[in-house]
Amino acid sequence: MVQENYLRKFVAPEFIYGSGARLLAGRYAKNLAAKKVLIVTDPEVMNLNILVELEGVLIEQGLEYEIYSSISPNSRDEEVMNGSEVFNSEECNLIIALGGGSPMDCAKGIGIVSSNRNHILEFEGVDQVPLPSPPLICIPTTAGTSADVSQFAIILDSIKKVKIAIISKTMVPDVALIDPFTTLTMDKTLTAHTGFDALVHSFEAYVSNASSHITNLHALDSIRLISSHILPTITDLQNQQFRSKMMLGSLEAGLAFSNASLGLIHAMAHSLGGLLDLSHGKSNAILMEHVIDYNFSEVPEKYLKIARAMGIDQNGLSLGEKKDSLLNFIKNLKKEAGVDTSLKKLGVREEDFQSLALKALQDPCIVTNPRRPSAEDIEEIYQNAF
Amino acid sequence: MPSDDYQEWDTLREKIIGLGEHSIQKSYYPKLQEQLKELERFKTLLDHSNDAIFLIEVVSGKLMDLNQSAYNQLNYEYSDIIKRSIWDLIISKDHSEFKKIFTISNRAQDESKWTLETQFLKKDGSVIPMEVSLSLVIFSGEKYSVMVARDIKERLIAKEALKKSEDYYRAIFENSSAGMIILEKDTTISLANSEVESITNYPRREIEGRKTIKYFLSPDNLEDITGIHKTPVGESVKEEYETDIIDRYGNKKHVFITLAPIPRTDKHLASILDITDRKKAEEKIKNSLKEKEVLLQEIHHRVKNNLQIISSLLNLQTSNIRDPLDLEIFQESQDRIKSMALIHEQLYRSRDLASINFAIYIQQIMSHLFYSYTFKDKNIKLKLELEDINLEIDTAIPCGLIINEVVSNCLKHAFKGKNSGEIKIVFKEEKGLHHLTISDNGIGFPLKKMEKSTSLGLKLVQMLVDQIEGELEIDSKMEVNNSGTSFYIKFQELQYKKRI
Repeated sequence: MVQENYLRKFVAPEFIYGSGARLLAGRYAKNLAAKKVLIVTDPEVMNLNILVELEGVLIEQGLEYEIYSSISPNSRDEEVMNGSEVFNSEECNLIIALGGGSPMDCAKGIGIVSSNRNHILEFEGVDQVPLPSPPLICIPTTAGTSADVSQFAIILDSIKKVKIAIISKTMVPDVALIDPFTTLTMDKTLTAHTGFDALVHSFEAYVSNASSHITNLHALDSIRLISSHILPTITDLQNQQFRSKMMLGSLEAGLAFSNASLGLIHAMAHSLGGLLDLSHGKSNAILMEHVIDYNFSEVPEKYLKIARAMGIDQNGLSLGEKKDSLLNFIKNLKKEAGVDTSLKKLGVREEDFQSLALKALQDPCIVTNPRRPSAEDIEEIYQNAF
Repeated sequence: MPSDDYQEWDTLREKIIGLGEHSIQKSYYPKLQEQLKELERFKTLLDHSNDAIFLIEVVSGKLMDLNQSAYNQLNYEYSDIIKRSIWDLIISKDHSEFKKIFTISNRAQDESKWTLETQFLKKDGSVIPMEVSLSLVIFSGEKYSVMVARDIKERLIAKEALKKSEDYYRAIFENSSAGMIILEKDTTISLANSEVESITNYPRREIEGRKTIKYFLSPDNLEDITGIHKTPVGESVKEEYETDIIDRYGNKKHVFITLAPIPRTDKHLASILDITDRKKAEEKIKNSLKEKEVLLQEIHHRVKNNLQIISSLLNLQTSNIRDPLDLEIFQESQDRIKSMALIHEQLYRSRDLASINFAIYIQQIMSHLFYSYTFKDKNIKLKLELEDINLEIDTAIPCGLIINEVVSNCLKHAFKGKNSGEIKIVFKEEKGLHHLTISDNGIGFPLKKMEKSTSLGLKLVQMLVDQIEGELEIDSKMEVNNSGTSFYIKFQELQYKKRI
C-alpha cells in the first residue's frame, strides 16, 4: 500500500545508541535547563544499580531529583495523575524515564498532564495533546516497547478497564539514551516477551498502510535483527553482543512503528490488555500468526519480503505454501522462545470475544491495518487464537 | 475514534502519520514565544502602573528589578539604578524600619504585608514622600522583598489642608460663646465645646457619647422638645427653641437652642445660648416699666383731679360774681380747664399713657360744651366726621384747647338770632397731615373785625396753632342765604419730645 505520492513524515527523537549512553543523562538534563528532575521508574528498577548510576550523574551535574516509582507493569491513569502531582508539588521541570514501556508511557503521561493541566484520559486518541510535555529523557531498560522513540503512550483506563492509546508527535521524547547494557538484567521470559513485542511492531509497521520507504527500511532490518537474535539471546542472557542486536532491532522497530503506526494485532492486544492485565508482549505474540493469516491476502508481497528478511527459504513454493511457511516459522519461533500459549490458557472466555472485538475496532491502531476488518472478522481471529 | 466511515479512517491516518494540527511539529519555541509575549505584556502593564514597583534581594539590599514608573519617579535611568542598594534610595532615618521587616519572616509561605510611609531620595537628592507596601517572597531559595511605593505628596497636602480646615472649624466650634454640641441620630451628644461645660456644669468627658440632649431638658419642657430632632435628614431646616435645661446641680437655666442638620449626615449641630441672665434683666426692665406706667397713670390721674379741683374752685367763686361778663370769663376758664382735664383722664385710661384717641376725645368735649351752653330756644346740631386718629399729649392738649375755643365761640356767637344751626367737625388724615375743620352755618362775621379783635379766644387759637406748627385758615360768609364760618387747621403731629 506504499504510495509514493502520499505525504509521509518521519519523526524521531535525538537518540544515542551504544554502551554508556545511559551515563549521559546528567549532561542532557543540564542542557535542557533542568533544575529538578523527576525520575519515573518502576519498583523493579528501584533495586537495580542503573538507578544508582543515574542518581550519580544527576548529582554530578548539581541537579536535584525526585523519584516516582509507584507504577504497575501496565501504567494506570491514576498513577499518571499522582506522578503529575509529584512533578508539580516538587517543582520539577524535567522528566527522566528509566525502565520498560510502563514507566516510559507513564512519564509521557505525567509530562503532558503537567503542561496541559488536564486529566490523562482527556488526551485519548490521535493528536489530542495541545502542548508538548516538559523535556523528557528516556532510558529504556527493555528491548521491546520502543516508547523511548515513539509517539505512543498506552495507559490503562482503570474504570473502563481498557487500554487507551495516546498518539501524538508531541509525546516523542526529547532524547533517548539507548544503552544495551541496561537490558542485561532482563530474565528469559521478559527477554522473550519484549523481543516478540518489538518483532510485532516491525511486522505491523511494515504492512501498515501508512508506511513509507524510510519506515520500511527500519522495519525490515528490525525483523532481520530480532528474528535472528531472539533465540540466541534467550539462551545467553549475558551476551552483550546479542543484547546489542536485540536493542538495535527494538530501536528500529520503534522508529518504524512510531511513524507508520501499527495494525490489527495491537488493536486486538490493547483490547485484551484492558480485560486481563496481560503482558503486552505476550498478547501480541499469541495473536501474531492469526492476524497475519487474515491480512496476508491484502499485501502478500510485503509478507513475502518479511519472510525473506526472516531468512525463510521459500523457493519454488506457491503463494499459499509461502504463507503457510511464514506462519509455521512464526509458530516455531514462538514455541522455541516459550511464548506459545493460547487465549484460553490465559483465562480469556469465548463470551468476551464480542466486546473485545468492538473495543479493538475503536482502537486507533486499527486504522493503519492493511485489511479492514469487521467485528465478526475480529471475533473469528480471537476464536482462532483461543 | 475509528468508525465505519472510510473517510474518517483516512483523516485519522493522516494524524497518526503526524500531520495533525498539534503534531505538525514538536517544539517548545512557539509556546516559549507566547509566554515571553505574555511576560512582555505584563512588564508593559507594570511599567505603566503609577506605582513604583521594586524587587529587592533582601540579604544584599540590592535592587534586582524595578518598573519604569519607579526609575522615572526617582529620575534615574534604568541602567543607573539597577543593582543599586535600596539604602541609597530611602532616607537613612527609616532604614531600621525596613530592616526590621526584612528580618521578620523567613517563611516562604508568609503572605503578610507591611505598609510604611517613608521618603525616597531622587537622583538629585530631593525627596518624595511615599507609602510603601512590602511583602517578602522566595524565588529559587533566595529571599526577596517586593515593594510597591506610591507617591503621597498630594495626599499629604490634602491631609494638611484638611487638618487646617479641621483646626479652623474646631476653633470656631470650641471658642463659640454659645454652647455647641453635635447630636447623633439618637440625640446622643457626640461632641460638646467648653461653653457646654459651663452651661451644664458637667465635664465634657461625662457628656460626649454618654448623654442625650433630653437628659438636660427640664421635664416641664420635654414635651415641647420631643420634636427637636425629628427634622428629616437632608432638609436644612433650622429650628429654634427657647426652653429650660437643668444643670448638674439642679439649677434651671433658660436657654435658646438653634438646631440645624449637618449636611450629608444624620447628625445635627445645636448651639445653646444661656439666656438666663438676659431673661432676668428683661424681667426687671418689664417690672420697672410697669412701675413707671402705674406712676404715670397716677400722675395723669392727679393732674386731672387737680384740674378738676381748679375748675371746682372757679365754680365756687362764681357764686360771688354778679357781672355776667365776669361770669362768662369764669365759665370760659372752666371750659378750658375741662378740656385739658379730659385729656389727662383719657390718657390714664389709655393703654400706652402717651396718646389718646382724638375722635373719642372730640365727642367727649363736645358733649361737655353742648351741656354748658344749653339753649332753651335753639336747636343746634352737631355733625362729626372723625377718623380714628391718635394724638400724643403734646399735640392733643393744644388741639383740645383749639376745639374748645372755636366751638365755645361758635356756640356763643354764631347762632345769634337763629333758632337752629349746625356745627360740623371734620378730622382726618391725608398724606401724613392732619386736617381739622370746624365749621358752622351761623351768621358769620366780618374777617377784618376779627383781625383787630382782642378777645382771648381767638388769640389763644392763633397761639395754639403756632404751638403745634400748624396753618390756620378762617373763612366767614355773611350773605343772606349763604353764611357761616369755618376754621381749617392743617398740622403735623409734633415729634414726641423725649423727656429723659
